[in-house]
Amino acid sequence: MPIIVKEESKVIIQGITGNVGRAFANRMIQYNTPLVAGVTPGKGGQYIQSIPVYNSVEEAVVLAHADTSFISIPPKFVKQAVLEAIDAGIKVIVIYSEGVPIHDSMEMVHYAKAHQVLLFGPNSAGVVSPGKANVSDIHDTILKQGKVGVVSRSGTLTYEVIEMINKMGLGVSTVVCLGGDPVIGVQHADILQRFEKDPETDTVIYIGEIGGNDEMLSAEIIKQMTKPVFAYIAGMYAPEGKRMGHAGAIIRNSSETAAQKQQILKEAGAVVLDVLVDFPRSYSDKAVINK
Amino acid sequence: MKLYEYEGKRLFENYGIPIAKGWLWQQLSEEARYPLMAKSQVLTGGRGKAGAIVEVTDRSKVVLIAQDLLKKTIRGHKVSHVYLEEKIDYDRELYLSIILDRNKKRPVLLASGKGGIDIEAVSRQDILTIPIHPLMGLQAYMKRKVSYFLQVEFRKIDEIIDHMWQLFSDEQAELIEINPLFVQSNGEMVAGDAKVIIDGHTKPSANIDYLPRQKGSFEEKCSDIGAVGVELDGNIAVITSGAGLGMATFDLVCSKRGTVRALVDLGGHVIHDVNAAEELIKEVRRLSPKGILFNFYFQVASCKVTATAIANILGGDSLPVVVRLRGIDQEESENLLSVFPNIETTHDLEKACERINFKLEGPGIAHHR
Repeated sequence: MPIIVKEESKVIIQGITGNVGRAFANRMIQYNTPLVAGVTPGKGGQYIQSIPVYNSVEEAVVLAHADTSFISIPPKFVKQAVLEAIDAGIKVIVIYSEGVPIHDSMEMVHYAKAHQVLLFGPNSAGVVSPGKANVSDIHDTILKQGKVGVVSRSGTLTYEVIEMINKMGLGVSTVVCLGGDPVIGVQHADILQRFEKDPETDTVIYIGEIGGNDEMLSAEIIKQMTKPVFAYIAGMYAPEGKRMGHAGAIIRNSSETAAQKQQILKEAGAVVLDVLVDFPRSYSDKAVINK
Repeated sequence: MKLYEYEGKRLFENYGIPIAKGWLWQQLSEEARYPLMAKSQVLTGGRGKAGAIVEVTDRSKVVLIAQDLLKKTIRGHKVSHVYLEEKIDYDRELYLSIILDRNKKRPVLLASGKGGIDIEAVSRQDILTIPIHPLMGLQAYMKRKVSYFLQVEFRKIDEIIDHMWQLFSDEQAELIEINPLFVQSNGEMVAGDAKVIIDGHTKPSANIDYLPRQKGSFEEKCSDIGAVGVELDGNIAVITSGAGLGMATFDLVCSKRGTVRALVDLGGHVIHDVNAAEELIKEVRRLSPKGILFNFYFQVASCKVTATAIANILGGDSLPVVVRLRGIDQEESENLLSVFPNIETTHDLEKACERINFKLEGPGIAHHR
């Protein structure tokens, strides 16, 4: 049983007629992600290959039974698109757009929560369960099915992780990219709980970064988990007060440093990696101990 | 975006938060009533302690004091303007702020009777903290709580908090801080300082007079091109195709005893635009790094764009460059670069970090300090 997205998911792309939306649609069709429709206001009636475009999310829900939406539209329109999707009954939303105003994010996140909608992002690279559904920007050709669950804020860093996993002869069950913005919807802790329950996942890779208090929440979950969690916190060498790329990645006080976060996760029972490329070594060490 | 006090005060004026009469030095009115407070305009706190706020007792002293303040640098920030305000007599100094709490994902209203000092130095039990639900907004009971806590008349504080909330929502602020909020003997309140941060992604809605900012930092130049750059003081410039990947690469370089001169995330626009990529590489080279490490991994864009920019700007240069690239059009892109003796390409991230350190330091250095 894959988590979040599956073969039976009915995916739409909001912004399907834009360059990015169209590229995603073509790839989803080519690699059998269950894409059922697209939405662009004013472009209803068009088709992308055989996929119908509707004017509203409601039409996509009524006519194509959509339940999952990938949103790639200009940042200032994102809030409206998300509220529309939630009100139409969409249950999983990935906001791929970058640069969404933080007040908008705050409102969307709380609205989604009130409606029990899983909202990823803003600035999320998406969610994928290889071989089932790919609602992410990770290319299908580099994904191999396996037992490792990956949860990360960053998208680009997950490519790196997937490559490492492939080289080790392993594969991934589900990859979740949460987004690099300071205010995002779904957090690490939510996904860890799902990985623990997911029979297709036996190992978890946790990628965090400096800033925020995600790891405090995650640690509480990791303490109760039976599956091994390998954790890397990006920004170990980051100087205080400097924004390091992601808008969320800035150290505000000592509890938000990589060292402090490592400590919290270690105490909760995670295997902490100082640098990402340590994973293969740590993984085989752990396997030896478990034997 | 952080605002100068002068700009924050203009917003306060617009939204009906009471302030003292004030003028920029060049625009000082004949009608100003002395004493005045001459306040250095810098985008950092702790001005009082740094001697950047000075009382002006009469007109004859204005020029000397203003010129003196303009020579100051506070915590690395050069004073660019002097703002003069009529001095306020007060009985009490309070603290009020609304801050966007990223962890709680909601605004928080903070109040304290211990204003006039850094809020970080005030003990917890002296600070009232009220989270505000973003979908419900500010509620009357919250303002009543503040008036009891601060022991001030509800009517007075009610209006100020309302106006702060309106400013916070309309201007999409991340922080509005009034510290101190003066309470005068007649009970009137006046905002002594204005610290405002607004979301850089949105246009300000109020039409106020902004002070010119000293453009030209590396960070700003990168942002003009559409990338995110951080200037540091080491040797290697690290340029990557994503913020998370950037931080991981940065960590790996440092873990191998390398030091970083700059960390740049190409951003979604630059990876599709050769000209922008070339501009960005030129900016990085102006920092005179001792070497450049590129690490990009593209799932949607072609590697050729960035590779072409690297070849055009850095190909044949004496500067050592290591490029680790993965993704679409990988081979073609590597071929573009491999003809240049100063550019080395690799598929492996760890090896890329080792190679750039090796090129800078020679063999052996990486293993001892």
